[in-house]
Amino acid sequence: MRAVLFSMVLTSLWSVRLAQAQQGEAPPDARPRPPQVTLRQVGPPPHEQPPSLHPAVKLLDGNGESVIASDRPLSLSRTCGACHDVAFIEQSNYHRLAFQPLPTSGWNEKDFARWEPLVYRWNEPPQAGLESAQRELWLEIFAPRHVGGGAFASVELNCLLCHLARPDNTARIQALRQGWVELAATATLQGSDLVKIIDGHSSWMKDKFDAEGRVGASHLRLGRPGNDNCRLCHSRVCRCSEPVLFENSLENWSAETTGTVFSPARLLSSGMNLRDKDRLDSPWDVHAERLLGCADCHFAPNNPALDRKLDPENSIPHLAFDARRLSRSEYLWRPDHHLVTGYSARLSAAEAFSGTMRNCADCHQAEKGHAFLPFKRTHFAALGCAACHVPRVFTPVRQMTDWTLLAPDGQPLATHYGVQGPVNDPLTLIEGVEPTLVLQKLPGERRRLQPHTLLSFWYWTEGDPARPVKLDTLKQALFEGGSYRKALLEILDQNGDGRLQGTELRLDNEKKTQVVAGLLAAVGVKNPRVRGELRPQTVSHGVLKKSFALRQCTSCHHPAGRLERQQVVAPYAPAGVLPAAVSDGSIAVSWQTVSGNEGVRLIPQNQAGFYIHGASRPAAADMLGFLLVGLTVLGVAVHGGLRLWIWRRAKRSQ
Amino acid sequence: MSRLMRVQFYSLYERIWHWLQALCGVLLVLSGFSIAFPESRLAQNFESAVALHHLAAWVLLVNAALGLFYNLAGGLIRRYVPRSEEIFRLSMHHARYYLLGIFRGEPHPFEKTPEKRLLPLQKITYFVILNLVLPLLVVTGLAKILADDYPWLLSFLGGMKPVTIVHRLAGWAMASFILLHVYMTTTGKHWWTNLKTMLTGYEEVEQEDAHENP
Repeated sequence: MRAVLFSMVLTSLWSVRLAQAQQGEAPPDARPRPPQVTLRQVGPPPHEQPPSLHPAVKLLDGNGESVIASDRPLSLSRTCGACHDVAFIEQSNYHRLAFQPLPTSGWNEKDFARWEPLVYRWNEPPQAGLESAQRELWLEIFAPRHVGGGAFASVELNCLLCHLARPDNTARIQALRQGWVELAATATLQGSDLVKIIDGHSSWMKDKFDAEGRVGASHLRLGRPGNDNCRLCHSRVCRCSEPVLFENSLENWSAETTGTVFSPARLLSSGMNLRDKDRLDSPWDVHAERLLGCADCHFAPNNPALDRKLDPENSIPHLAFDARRLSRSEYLWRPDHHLVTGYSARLSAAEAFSGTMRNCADCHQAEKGHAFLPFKRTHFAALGCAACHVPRVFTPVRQMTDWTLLAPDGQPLATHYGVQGPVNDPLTLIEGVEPTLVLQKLPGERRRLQPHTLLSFWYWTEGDPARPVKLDTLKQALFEGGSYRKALLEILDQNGDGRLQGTELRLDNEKKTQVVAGLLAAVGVKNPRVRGELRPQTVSHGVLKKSFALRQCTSCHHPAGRLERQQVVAPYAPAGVLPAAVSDGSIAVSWQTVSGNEGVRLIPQNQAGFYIHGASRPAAADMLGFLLVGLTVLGVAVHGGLRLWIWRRAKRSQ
Repeated sequence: MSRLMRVQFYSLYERIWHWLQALCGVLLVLSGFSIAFPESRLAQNFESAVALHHLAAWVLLVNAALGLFYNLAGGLIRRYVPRSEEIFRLSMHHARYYLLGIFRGEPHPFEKTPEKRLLPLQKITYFVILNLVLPLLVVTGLAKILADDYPWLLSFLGGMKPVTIVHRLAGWAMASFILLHVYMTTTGKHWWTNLKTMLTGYEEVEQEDAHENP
């Protein structure tokens, strides 16, 4: 009877719901659903073009006259300098030091000026100004990624490159390469409707200016630097709103060297051929998804809204917040452009400012989460957050760059981590790379493990002290009339097809090395020898969403875990030379590499005294322990066996 | 004439205490092995091994403290202190029995009574285990388990590596002791006699009849 009643009630309820659904009504018991809100849609819909609070700007030329009156190129030191201390900004701006020898004690400063083996670039200290060949070199190589100012003072510091929403960087680079140095700033505005550059002359659209020669800031779209501004020099992977799709190249420096992409787009919706892509439901970087931009973390250190004021040397220990800050006008007059930055093993112009950035703990209270994690403080002290929150990077990462021989196009032989097959072939499956945990030195003798990628390089050096052989000299030694030299073909062409390709282009024995050394000597290289380098690159971006974070204990607490695992850092060792570690000194690990059949392997060294349960092995103690237990078992077995044998014998004799 | 008497050797509390310590000891050895050798086929899941190791350690520690109080308050602690005669003479006698006499079917040289239930070699072994191995395990274990909240303790003892080495060596010693202890329980009148006594608390003991009629 009860069952019948129950089924009747269920049937009637179902009929009501069905009827409501047919009438387009919500069922009465349906829970109210929240409106479709995303982070982008919180609050009123944004303006198409956010209003700018910047006052209208009078564009001035180098003489301080209005450009529309003089029709001369724009001078930013005059224009911006009317309200901002441009000289201070230029001085307190490490971007102007980009590509110059570092003022620090890196080994390459002494011997190589600033040596960048990824692009085979050897920057001599700048001589007086930008003269003759050096000027040409600078314009050709560095102009696309140099903001101006500094040693290359004849190119003005280009404020517009970072503070204009849509700077015309192509026009700027073109102007520089054509030698129109004084037009570089004007060219940056060419994308707007304010100016046109014709045959090296600027032509200002006077109707866009007001009677006093000013242009509205909203017209210029002046403001805080956006991600697109940073992307002009640092990485060209994608624009934020588009799926990630790119080719591995040095144009995408960050992806090529660290495997990270700062994009809110989902991994699974990218155009990359990623392994298990349908399961990768995480943004490329969760901070980008949460609408953080580059300038949110890499801000001006004296910005009163963001200033940490927590200089451990000078701060008052009990003070959690120091209210003594610059006023807005003081800040806007002299904004410090030594943008705060994190720790990086990479030798960079910003090295002196390492660790000035807010760290993860400034925004996240890690101890309030991580309920699953025992020994939270111990883990947090030993591990950087990225160690677990960047468990994998999803683009191929440069593994080896071998400049000891060159491909027919004059490029080095390069291999990548995380792919099996040609790196930019759409059919190649990208498996991703697990970064190597490397001990990083922090102020106050603190150390922690941070994820790094390990890039290896081999190249020829000459003289004493050793310096890299210039690329032109190397090409001269290897090629003749656009083809490989006969001596090189004879020793390297294994299949006799008259071409060198694939594994043929390897200095994998002494004889080959001697032939190339001989060719170098023939073009005047003194004492040519091969040098290998292993350069760690700190992985700071590419933070995946929470569910992708590493939480398997045995990822580290295991003899084959991330800290104990041997890693192949190159498929072979050119000329049998093992790579030496090169970093900015922030890396506290001693490296040891060995060469074997599978290539050059990095042997993990004891991470400066970290004892990791399950991974570290006190061999002597364990041997002693096994011996003790073994002898006990043996003693028990012998004693027990004898007793059993005697007992059985006695039983039989009865 | 002698007759079999059912004599109580262990009270209920002593038996519960013993089996709880035994359980904790075995769990600690097994989970400790899993933590130390996670790649072993015998190892359990690392995360649960750590949790189990910590739980068993705290239970063992509390139980050990209660046991110490019980023995101190009841004046029973003297049972565990070997006399010099036991260390030098009687232990030799005892060892000779296990090395030779037991195979020849000789009677056990020592008579166990509820008051004198620990034999000379047993006393010496327990003395070493309770005064050296267990304190080493407890101190180093506490330093490790409290590393997050009281890191000074770990630093004071030399850091994680030396502390873990000592903890590990003591763990191996404890594992050997457990193996040996289990085996020695089989050396009673029958292989199950001692085990039965520790389970039931009672043992049947032959006693001379004092009031035998002439």
